[in-house]
Amino acid sequence: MSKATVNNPTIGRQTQLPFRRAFQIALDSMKARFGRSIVTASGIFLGIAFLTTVLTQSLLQWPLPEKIAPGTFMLDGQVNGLGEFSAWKSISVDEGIKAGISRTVIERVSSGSKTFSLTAIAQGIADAKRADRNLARVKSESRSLKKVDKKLYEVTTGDRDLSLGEAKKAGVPWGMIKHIAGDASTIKQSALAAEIAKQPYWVSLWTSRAKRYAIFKTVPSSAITTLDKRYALTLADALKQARGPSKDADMKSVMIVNHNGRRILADFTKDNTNAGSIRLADGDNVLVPDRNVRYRTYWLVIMSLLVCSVGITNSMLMSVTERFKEIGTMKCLGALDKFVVLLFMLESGMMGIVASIFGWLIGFVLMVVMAGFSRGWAVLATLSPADVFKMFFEAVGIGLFITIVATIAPALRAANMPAAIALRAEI
Amino acid sequence: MATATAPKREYVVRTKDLIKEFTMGGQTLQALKGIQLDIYKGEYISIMGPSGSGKSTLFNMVGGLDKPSSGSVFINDVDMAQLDAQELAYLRCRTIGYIFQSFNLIPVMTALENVVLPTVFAGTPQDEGIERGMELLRLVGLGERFHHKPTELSGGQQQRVAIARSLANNPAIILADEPTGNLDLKTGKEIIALLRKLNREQGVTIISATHDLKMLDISDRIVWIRDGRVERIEERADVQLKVGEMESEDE
Repeated sequence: MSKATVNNPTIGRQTQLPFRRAFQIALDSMKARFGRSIVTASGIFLGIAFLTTVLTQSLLQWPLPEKIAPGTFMLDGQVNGLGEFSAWKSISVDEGIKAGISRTVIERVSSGSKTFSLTAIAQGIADAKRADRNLARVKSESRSLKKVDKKLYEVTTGDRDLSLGEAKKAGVPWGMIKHIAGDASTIKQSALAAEIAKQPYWVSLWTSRAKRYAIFKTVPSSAITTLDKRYALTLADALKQARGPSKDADMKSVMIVNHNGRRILADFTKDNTNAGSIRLADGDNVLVPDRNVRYRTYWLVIMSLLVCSVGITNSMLMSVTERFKEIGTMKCLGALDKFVVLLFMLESGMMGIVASIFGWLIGFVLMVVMAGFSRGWAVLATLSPADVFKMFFEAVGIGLFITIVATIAPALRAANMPAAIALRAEI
Repeated sequence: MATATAPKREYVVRTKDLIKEFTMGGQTLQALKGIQLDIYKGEYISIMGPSGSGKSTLFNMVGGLDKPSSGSVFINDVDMAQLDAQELAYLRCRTIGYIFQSFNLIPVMTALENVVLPTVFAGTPQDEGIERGMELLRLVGLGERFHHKPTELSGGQQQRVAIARSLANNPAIILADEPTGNLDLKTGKEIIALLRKLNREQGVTIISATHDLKMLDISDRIVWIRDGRVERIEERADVQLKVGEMESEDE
């Protein structure tokens, strides 16, 4: 020990330690009390994980692109109308002819008026398809009828009344039974025998019906596409026409997931024209959420924010108060109040960031996996990376913010209290 | 001889009409009722008194750990009330070293780190600080145990670390608040001997609040405090005999 003279009594001003040194001390302190740091950080971690599950849940609210029949779209979970065609808009006959639809077709659907709608044509095409299917079925049934088996022979020989079920059991096609019976609940054996005898007529009945609708087959799809471009069904039309949204509908956040998985969010209360410009196509899903859903989401987010801030505040408060004595000691050794606050800010900041990132990660993965198992892995397609990123920064930002805010009050209190009182503090 | 040299000696601490009031449950309690005290440079002074007499409060006032309600404390003729936060921190860092009854070591730091901490706050380069810390730990006889945490040390050893820490920045004054209060008789004696040695060899002024009568033996002066007032100030020579009697009663 050198014969060091005692320190020069002249009073100077204590200088703030460089930030790098403070950072190093904060890091060392966290490492030294690793166990306690983990406990404190887990408070932040749990809060943010909880918040993230709620935020992720609200992102996963998007409807899934479902496989639904062509020419239809989903509105509020119900298959509605036609998506591909300008369903309800009236088109003048001249324009229809100019586009390439045959006059016969237009006359049939316009029934004398000067306008027609593509809905009618689409309906006709749908009917034509059905007629085709029926015809094919009848043909195959009539073929089987030719091979008269024993059962059918027994049923058709005699003159008693047959119940419809009996006839069906014997192998008579249902279509034919209904045709003979009309409104009655029984059919005469003789009538059935006679009907079977004039099979060709029965088939031609269906054939003629098919012919009736077959006319629509002549409508070229190019003509419909041309008209569709001008008279496309927009989201606004769909919502106006469909039985769709109820009184509680949340028109502020109408959601569409189209057949490609692309997502559109429309606000009807604000910008009706926007919705008017969104054209619906085959297989689009339109979801008009219930207003309660939005309020419930708000409620959940607010509650989870509260829970998360109370949890974080509690752990930070605890971790600062239990170190009052240490703060007092450091002040005795020449630490500036500012330095003490900075130290705690750094510690809680580092802890806040790391714990928030892990909290977000766990919350997000947990929620996506749960949604994946319950709703199918297609949910992943509805998550846009931009939204996920936004949520990440929100969650980590909130975590950091609450942590720092929760640390400032006790740290300031500790730093500003006279060292003597801080030293006396007992936990 | 002592009386002849006294007028030439410099004051290191002086208090003037020191009053401290606490408000507890709506009642105002006067812990210090006008303390007048002059302490010379290089002196070993013990502040004696029963618990509740206000000696810890006085200790806090002199150490700049709390503010008096009225009156003033001068350290090297500087009025502490005039100092701002940065100057006060400077004073606590370099001019005063503190030793506490409960040691107040930072539990997560090793002995060496604890001793080095004041040099960190003083802005001493790291290598220099560590060198100084090791030197001090050797001085207090703990050179081998520098890497131990406070929980791995005995009470006496912890107090030695605290003494080493108080010396880190070569302070002019060491304030010791009941330094032997938590120690057994033998360890207490060792600590007292160590303090005395530092006082003699390094010329550091030691102000110790205590009710440990063993302290009396080595003090230059003893300030008796009772009920927030200085009851009497005694030179060592006056009390030596009395202490001898008391100690023999103890043992």
